Formats: sequence, structure tokens, C-alpha cells
Amino acid sequence: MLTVKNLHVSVAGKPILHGINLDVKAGEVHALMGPNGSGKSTLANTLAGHEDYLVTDGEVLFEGENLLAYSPEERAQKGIFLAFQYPVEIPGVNNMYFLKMAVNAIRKAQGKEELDALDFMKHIKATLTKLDMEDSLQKRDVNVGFSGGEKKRSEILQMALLEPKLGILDETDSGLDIDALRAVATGVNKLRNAERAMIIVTHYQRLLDYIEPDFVHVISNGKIIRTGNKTLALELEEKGYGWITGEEAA
Amino acid sequence: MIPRTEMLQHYRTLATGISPALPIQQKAAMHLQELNLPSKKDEDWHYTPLAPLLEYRFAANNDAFVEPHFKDIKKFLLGEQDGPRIVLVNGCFHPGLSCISDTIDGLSVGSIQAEAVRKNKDVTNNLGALSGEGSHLFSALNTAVFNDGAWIRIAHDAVIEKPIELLHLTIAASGTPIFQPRNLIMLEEGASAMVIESSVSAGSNPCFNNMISEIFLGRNTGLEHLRLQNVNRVSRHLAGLYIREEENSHYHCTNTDLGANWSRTEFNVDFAGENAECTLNGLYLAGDDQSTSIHLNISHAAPGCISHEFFKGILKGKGKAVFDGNVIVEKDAQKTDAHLKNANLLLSREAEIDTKPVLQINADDVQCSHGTTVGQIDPELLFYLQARGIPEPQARKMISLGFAKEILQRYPLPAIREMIEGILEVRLADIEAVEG
Repeated sequence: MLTVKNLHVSVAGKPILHGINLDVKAGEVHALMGPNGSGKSTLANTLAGHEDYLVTDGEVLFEGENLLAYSPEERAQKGIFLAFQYPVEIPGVNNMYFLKMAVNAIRKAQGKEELDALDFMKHIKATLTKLDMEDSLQKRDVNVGFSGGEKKRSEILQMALLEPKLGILDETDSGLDIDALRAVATGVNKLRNAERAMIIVTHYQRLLDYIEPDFVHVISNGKIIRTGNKTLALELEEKGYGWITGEEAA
Repeated sequence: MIPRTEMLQHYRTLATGISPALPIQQKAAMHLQELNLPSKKDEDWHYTPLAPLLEYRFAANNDAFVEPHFKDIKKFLLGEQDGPRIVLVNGCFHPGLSCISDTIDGLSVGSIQAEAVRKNKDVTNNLGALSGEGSHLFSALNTAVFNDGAWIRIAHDAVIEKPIELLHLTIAASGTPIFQPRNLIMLEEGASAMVIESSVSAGSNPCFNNMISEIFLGRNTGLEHLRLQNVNRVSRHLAGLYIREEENSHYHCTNTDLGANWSRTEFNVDFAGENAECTLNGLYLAGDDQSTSIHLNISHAAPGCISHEFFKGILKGKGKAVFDGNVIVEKDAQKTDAHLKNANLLLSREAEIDTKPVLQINADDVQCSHGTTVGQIDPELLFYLQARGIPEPQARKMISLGFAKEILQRYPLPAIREMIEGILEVRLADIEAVEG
């Protein structure tokens, strides 16, 4: 589904990624771990098409197409979803309205019929039930005044509504208490299926207690330096990143 | 462009050879002969573009126009169909379209000209009491030779539940006419009401609407004033509002300026009694070939009064706006609570905003603040929406509308909010990426 080859990325003229290689197949869950500043979020944002992230070398293929040629909205329409580490507040834009616009923009681009208000309500209700979530955020403005946990839950709800082929979760666990973490993980697990791939970017192992990855990659200094299965994450938790990166643990 | 001296002569001539009914009008006509055209040297006109005022010789116009019917104005109406309504067509009270039956206890409305002829003391004693003879050429001109307008009185302790609608409709059948409505709104002690005031055009000729409203709020009164200006994009529109608030009165105004080639709205609020309150919310949008100016003169002369002013502006294309907000707290106005805010969203590199919030504080026990922001669409907000599949132009529109919502939601009536949202949807449909 996704092939990243020798990806080099700079932000504001500063090279961050120095040759990332990654292969993600349908149905797989990849965990991308690494210390702060290692380039995890850079990779996530680059895949989603953030304009501040400049690809200086390498390529990214998504279902055989050159992903880098597309705008962020086109990438989303092709089935890439980024759950933001810091979801932004958009004052004056009602959450329900935003969700409907997003769902219909993607449906339209995919040649499907747009949902009217009633069908959209049904879609939301069914999705909330599936995720075991409450319908309390839809009347508010997008992320405005949401707690950290609400913001992350809202990201998962968006992912469920937009039904992407590839979900990228950028530090979705950061700043969550254990209940919120469990709620988010439950949502993610319910969205796993044989057609959908996920990349879970995380600093800590604890999210992986709830979401079991097929592969764990350790990224350090802009490169993937180790790939293994879920036991790698446990080892990291125990020994710290210094164990692999050769630097002292913070 | 018409030379300034010629233009000045033209406006002076408009007020000569007439014999106005009220002494204040005669004074204003005399005063007018001494006033000059506003210029860059006048502090409160410094940023207002003046060239659009020199393009046409706007003149009094008595041409016949196609008589409007109810079906022609229905789309502009925001109040209740059978509610109290005053329709001014080309500045003149239109009895056929207005709805002023005396069935509502405590509410009196009518034509200000008719009331002046009847020697209604409200009009003879109070017209001009707040505006004076005119602080500039155009306010003096209105005072001297206004066409007609609305007279609204709410009696002692009367609570008018139905919104009172005031529609200014201009129909320029030919030429470049000037229309000069004059309104007088008086709330007696303990009264409360809602007034919806909108200015719209039915024709496509350039008009100059030069209007003044004087609003007297007695003790313990409350007025909700909902305003919308959406005249055609070739007209000039100047609205002067003068509000005097007695003790414990409340004035809430939400104002939106969307139309006109050139518009200027002046709010003059005078706190004449203690513990009065004033909230001014405003939204303006200016695109190509548009300039809009907001001028606030809030005078805290009495102690313990509250004034909150919050104006937001969206500028697109070559649109230009001016925000000139002045709050003065006099020496004796202790315990004043005054907050002045202006925020602007620039959607293009050619758009322009001159914003100047000024707080002048002469008392020592007050709570005052002012703040102003000018920004573009936050790229992180844009990216977030795009990352959800929403195309960039649509995302820009959503963010811009969201910016306006903070003001729109302060309208206490959904009909006007929805009308403005609908206009904004259309006006923002063509916003493009900021180049470079």
C-alpha cells in the first residue's frame, strides 16, 4: 500500500529525515517509535502533505502512485488520514458541519454520492455506537475548548467517519490519562481490518499495550535503525532508547 | 474626479434656498456654509478614503420611481410579517409598505416629517439634541435638509415584544441621487424594545445615503439594535448614530457592513447617567472597489458605566477598511469598565486595514483594555481542514466564515444572522489562495 524509499525531508532548511525506508501493506499495523526530535512526527506530517516539510530526496508511493505529487486534500481523498498530535481549534466552525463537509468532500472525490443531512446523522450515530463514544462534541466548534482527551477521541471519530485506507496516528497517546488512552485504543482496534493499514507514531510503549502492532520500527536521528515485532517495544520500555541509539537515556 | 472646491460648493448649494421647519435645521444650514469637505487633516477622517466622495455630484432627486410593492421588499424583511414596520423609500416614509397600526401598547411610530409638521415635541425638542448642528459637512447637511425618517417612541415601562423593523430602501431610477433619512428613537423610563434596521438597494445606480439616527435611552431602559448595511456596491453610505444613555440603561447594537462602494459608520455614545451599559458588536467585509470605515466615540462621562466594543473585519481583494475606535473616560467616571477590541482577517496581499483603537483615561479607578489584531488565515487551520479532504478554497471560506461567526452569533435573532451568513457565503465563494 505505502512504500517509502530513501526519504529525505527538511524543515525550514534543516534536514530532519535522512533516508527513511518503510513498506506498509494492507491490514498491517506499524508502530514508529523513537526519542523526541528523532523525526517521527516529521514523517507523519510529510505523508499528509504539510507544506513546511520539504522532501529533498527519495520517493513515496501510495497504491503505486507518487503520493508527493498530491495536495493534502487529494491525499485525504485517496485514503490517507493523519490523526494530529495537536488538533487545532477552529473557532466558528461547527464540528458537525465540519465532519459533514469532510465526509462529503471525500465521497465526492471518490465518485460516491454525497450524504444529505439525515443520512449523515445516521452515519455519525452508527459510527459513535461502533466506537462506543458519546455524542457530546458535535454541537461545539471544531476542537474549541475540547480537553486533551476529547481532542484525541474526536480525531479517532474523524478517522472512523472518513474510512481511510491508511491511518497515521501522530502521538495520539500524548497527554492522555489512562481512561482516555483506553478509549482511544478501543476505537483504533475497532477500525483495524484486513484492508486498512495503520502507522502509530508514539514515544512510549504504553499505547502498544492496547494496540498490538505487527511491526515496530525505531527511528533515531532521521533514520529507521531497528525493526522488529512487538517485543522490541517492550525491550525499549525496559532499557530506554539509549540502548539502541548508543546515547545515554534521558 | 470633481475638484474639491466645486464639490464643496455643490453640497453647500443643496442647503440654500430652503426654509426648513425646525430652528436646528436653520442653524445647521448656516453652519454648513462654514464647513469644509472632510479632509486628511481632520483627525477623524484621516484614514477614510475621500476620493470616492469626489466622483459624483450626488444631488437631491425628485425623479419618479417605480412604486415598490410588498412583494418587492419581502425578501429584505427580517422581522415578523405583521410586526411593526417602517419602510423608508429613498429616505421618505412609505405609508403603504409600513405597518404602524396602534395596536401595540406603548409603541408610537411614524414619519418624522409628519411629526415635525404636527409640532410633536419629541421632534421639535429633541431632533439635533444629540447630533448638534453637525460635526462635519455631511451631518450638517442631513440636519439641514433631511428627507424624512422614522420616529419611534416607547412609552414608560412598555416592553415591546415584537421587533420593530426599520427598512431603508433606495431605488435610484436615474442619476446619482443623495438620500438623507433621519431617525429618532426614544425610550421612556423603564421601556425596552428591539429595532432591526437594514439598508438595502433595489436599483443599480450609485446613490449617496447620508443618514443620521438619534437614540435617547431613558433610565432603566433596554434597546437591542440589530443593523445590517448591504446596499449596492456602487453607492456611498454614511450612517451617523448618536446615542445618549441615562442611568442604568442598556444599549446593545450588533452592526454589519457588507455593501457600498464607500461606507462609514459613526457610533457616538454618551453616558449621561451612572451604571449604564453599552455593547457594540460589529462585522465588516470589504472586497474589490470597497472601503468601509467604523468610527467610535464612546464618552464615559458618568461613573460606573460599562462599554464593550468588539469589531471584526474581513478584507479581500483590494478591499480597504478603517477602524477608528475612541473611548474617553472622564475624570469623574470612576469604576468605568471599558473594553475595545478589533480583529481583522486579510485574505489577500492587496487588502488594507488601518486600525486605531484609542483609550483616553482621565480617571484612576477603572478597568479598561484595548486590543487589535491583523492576521491572515492560519496555515495550520487550513492544513487541518485540507488533511480531512476539504479543498483549499472551501477550507479558506470555512475559516473566514468561522471568523465572522463570533460576531454573528451575537445577533439575538436568527433571521438576520442567517441572512448575513447567506450573503457571506456568496461573497466569500471566490476567495483565492494568498499569492506568494
